[in-house]
Amino acid sequence: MEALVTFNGVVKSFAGNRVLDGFSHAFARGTLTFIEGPSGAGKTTLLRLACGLETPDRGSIDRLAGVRFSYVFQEDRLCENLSAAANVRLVCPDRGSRLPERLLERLGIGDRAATAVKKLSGGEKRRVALARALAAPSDVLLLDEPLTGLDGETRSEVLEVVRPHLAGKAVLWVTHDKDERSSFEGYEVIVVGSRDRG
Amino acid sequence: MSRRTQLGPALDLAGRLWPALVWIAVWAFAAHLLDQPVLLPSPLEAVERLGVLATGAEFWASVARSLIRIALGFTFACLLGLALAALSFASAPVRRLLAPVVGAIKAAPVASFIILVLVWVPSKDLSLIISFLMGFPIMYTNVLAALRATDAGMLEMARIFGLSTLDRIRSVYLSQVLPSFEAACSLALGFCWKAGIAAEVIGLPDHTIGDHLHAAKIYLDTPSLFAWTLAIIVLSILIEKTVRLLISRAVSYVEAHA
Repeated sequence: MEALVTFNGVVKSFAGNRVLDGFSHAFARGTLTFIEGPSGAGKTTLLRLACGLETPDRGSIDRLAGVRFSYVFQEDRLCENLSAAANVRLVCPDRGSRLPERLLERLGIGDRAATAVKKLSGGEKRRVALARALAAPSDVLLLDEPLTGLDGETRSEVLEVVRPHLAGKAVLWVTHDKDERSSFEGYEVIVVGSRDRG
Repeated sequence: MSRRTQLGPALDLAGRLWPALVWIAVWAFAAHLLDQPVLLPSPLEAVERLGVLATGAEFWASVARSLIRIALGFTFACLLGLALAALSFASAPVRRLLAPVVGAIKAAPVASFIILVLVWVPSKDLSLIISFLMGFPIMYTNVLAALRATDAGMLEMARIFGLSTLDRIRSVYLSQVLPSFEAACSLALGFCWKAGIAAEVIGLPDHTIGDHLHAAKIYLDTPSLFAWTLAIIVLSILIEKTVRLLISRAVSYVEAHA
């Protein structure tokens, strides 16, 4: 399988705390990797390193030329004054497409598509952030606790919407909740902060 | 509907008006005690004189002349302040180049500028330039500060999703700048209006509010002085409310259609 992002002995520290110590791994197309570990262990840092928002202190990260990233950040990072659909449309190559409305509909917030994000609840904002990440053309999908703020029933519905969008991509999924991966098969688990590999 | 709910708006209005009414009563009492309209006319005399002035064409022509020039100065201040703030944000050398100029404009007393500008330009253009000089640093400083405080997380988002420069401007920078622009406009407007009138009092361009204020002082026509001052205050309130409404609508339109 084609490796899209490869970590080679990456070392990364924050404020004297070494969060990654010689981490090596190849994230290939068509793989789903859950990243687990205690708070502050370096899960988000691993995602930020993968897409180039952080640089390693030592070691290197190789990215396949032209590789495209999509990201559900830990915070929603939405344009509060724009509508939910406009936020999603921002990343769509075809601005006339109905994809944003369709995705929001499938995520259960179709009736909120024209509403300014600042008027949405926390759970609704999270689903807009997820819709944006799914709408963007990408090879690597970075999901940093994407289901935060969603209740049990909504989580199951959202997982069903997300599932088909993972195919053919390298997916790095940060989670605290082991149940999140129970509905998937053929995944890999990386536990950061303990040097254990699942 | 309860009686309290029915009376709600009236009670609100009374709540807002009573402090002003108290001070008008103090003014009326002081004028009555002094009994010298040349030193302190009563509120009634001032309002009566304003009524007389407002029936003449000269009053409205003077108001229009002052208003147009100060509004032009304010508009130029907004446009240039916005443009140069964007340029300074994009280019550190431009920011460093402009810093001493903006600092000097902010620090120098308005009277120095008025006298200096009078040396260079005809007095009829004085209020335009002075109101520009008062409004420009407010607009420039506020917009630049807002741009420099742009949410780093949103910029990362724009980078990851490969947003174009135009999309970055509309989705990240506009939402960051518009609230500060709105606040700066409101603040600058008051400064432009007061400094513009002060410039007219010193420069004495014909048939302007400042010219009439000066004439009232020269002829010890204190009721007219109070009447023109009342007119300035009323106009200031009306202009501020109108401009705030217009800017707020423009900002909402830009946010919705950018």
